[in-house]
Amino acid sequence: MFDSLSEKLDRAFKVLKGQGKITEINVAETLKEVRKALLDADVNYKVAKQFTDTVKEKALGQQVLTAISPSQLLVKITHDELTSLMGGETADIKLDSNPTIILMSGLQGSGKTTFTGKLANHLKTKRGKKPLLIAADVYRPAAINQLHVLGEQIGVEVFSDAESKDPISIAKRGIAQAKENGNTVVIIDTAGRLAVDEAMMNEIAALKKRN
Amino acid sequence: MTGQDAVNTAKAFNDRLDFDGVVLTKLDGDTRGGAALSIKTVVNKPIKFVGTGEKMEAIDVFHPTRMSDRILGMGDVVTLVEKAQEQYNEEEARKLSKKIAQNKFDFNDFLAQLNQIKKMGNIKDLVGMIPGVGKAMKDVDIKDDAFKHIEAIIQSMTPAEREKPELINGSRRARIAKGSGQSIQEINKLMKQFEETRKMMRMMQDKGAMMKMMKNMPKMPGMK
Ligand SMILES: Nc1nc2c(ncn2[C@@H]2O[C@H](COP(=O)(O)OP(=O)(O)O)[C@@H](O)[C@H]2O)c(=O)[nH]1
Ligand SMILES: [Mg+2]
Repeated sequence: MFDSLSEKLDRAFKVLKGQGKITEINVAETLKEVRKALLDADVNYKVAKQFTDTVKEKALGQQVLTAISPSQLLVKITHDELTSLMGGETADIKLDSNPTIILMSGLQGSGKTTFTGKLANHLKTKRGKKPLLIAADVYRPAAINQLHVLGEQIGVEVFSDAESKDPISIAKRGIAQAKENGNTVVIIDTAGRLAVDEAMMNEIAALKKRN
Repeated sequence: MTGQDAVNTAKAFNDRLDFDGVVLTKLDGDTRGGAALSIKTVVNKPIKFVGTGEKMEAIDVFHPTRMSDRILGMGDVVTLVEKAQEQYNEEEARKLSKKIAQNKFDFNDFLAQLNQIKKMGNIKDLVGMIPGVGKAMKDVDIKDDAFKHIEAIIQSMTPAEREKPELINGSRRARIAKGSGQSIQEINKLMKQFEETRKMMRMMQDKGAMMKMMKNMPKMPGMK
């Protein structure tokens, strides 16, 4: 998935191959390539700039041990900085409430319904949870059906009400059912929306607040 | 959608909803990875999961360290092992090892093993997790149906042939080739591969041989 980025970074570090030590010049040259690689991978400009600045600072400030080459050192620093750029620690999903309620939001076609199924399957098989899925996309009749098909496939129950056009009411009733049946996780699949669509954003903000 | 668009969308949603975490879907596609690298800084919310395909199993917990390993071509052995363990079934493994010991590992087992590998996910992604190999294989086109012709060949065998590969002589090979739409060379290749797999499996299982190998190895600290 990061093939092209990996390749370009690899090439960037080649600048340092055979160099005895880290200098302002060879680091600058390498990091120019690293920055280009990041920008080509569509990393935000400010993020890329900040990233290479940090790596440079760390590389120049480091006592170079004879045991490692400049390119190894830079790869190591880049590795640590990439990790921290992506959040550092693994951010585990919070599952302490009973039931834990997860609300999906995002653009249309971004994969919310599919992910609702995947997450339920993951929580069921790996975390011993008993999920209930709620179909709260009231704008496309096919969406309800899509969720039922996935639910069936992974053996997870789905709450829906094709008659209702009110996502909040559907969610409320779904959660009530979950409590009654001892479901430990509830995942609410919602309709896709644009962040600029005021009415739709109000709807999902209300969904979040009321549940 | 570009990485920048994805990040801007996440930011707009977060400004309004103050959500807990992000899921990066379709990471199996032609994404260039930029979103994964920018979201935390721009939105200040963690990536929790990634989606890597349309199937229900195509979900991974997002581990920043492992992702850096992969970006820098260091492989991601931890994920690879986890995926293998998920598919590992104690009971099946015991049965299989018994069959290997009795030299009864057959084409049905071979097919079952292929299916296990397939269940682990997208083959190209798996290969990419092996340190050093990902880089070497980047230009090799590994399709997800890489095993398709092998499956076709095995499926063209009779049940008796699958259980007793010794039966498969020249005329049977010709029939299998025809039935599976593969050349006779492909059949021969698979038969040879199968024989080698069988041999290797027995060798690895032969504890006596393993012990001998261990004895010849230099002493390792902590080993008695
Ligand atoms: N390749 C790939 N396709 C995906 C992934 N997640 C979802 N899709 C596909 O993207 C399309 C839209 O997904 P859907 O879940 O319906 O999106 P929604 O509108 O946000 O609910 C479907 O064809 C899915 O199969 C993924 O991780 N990888
Ligand atoms: Mg949907």
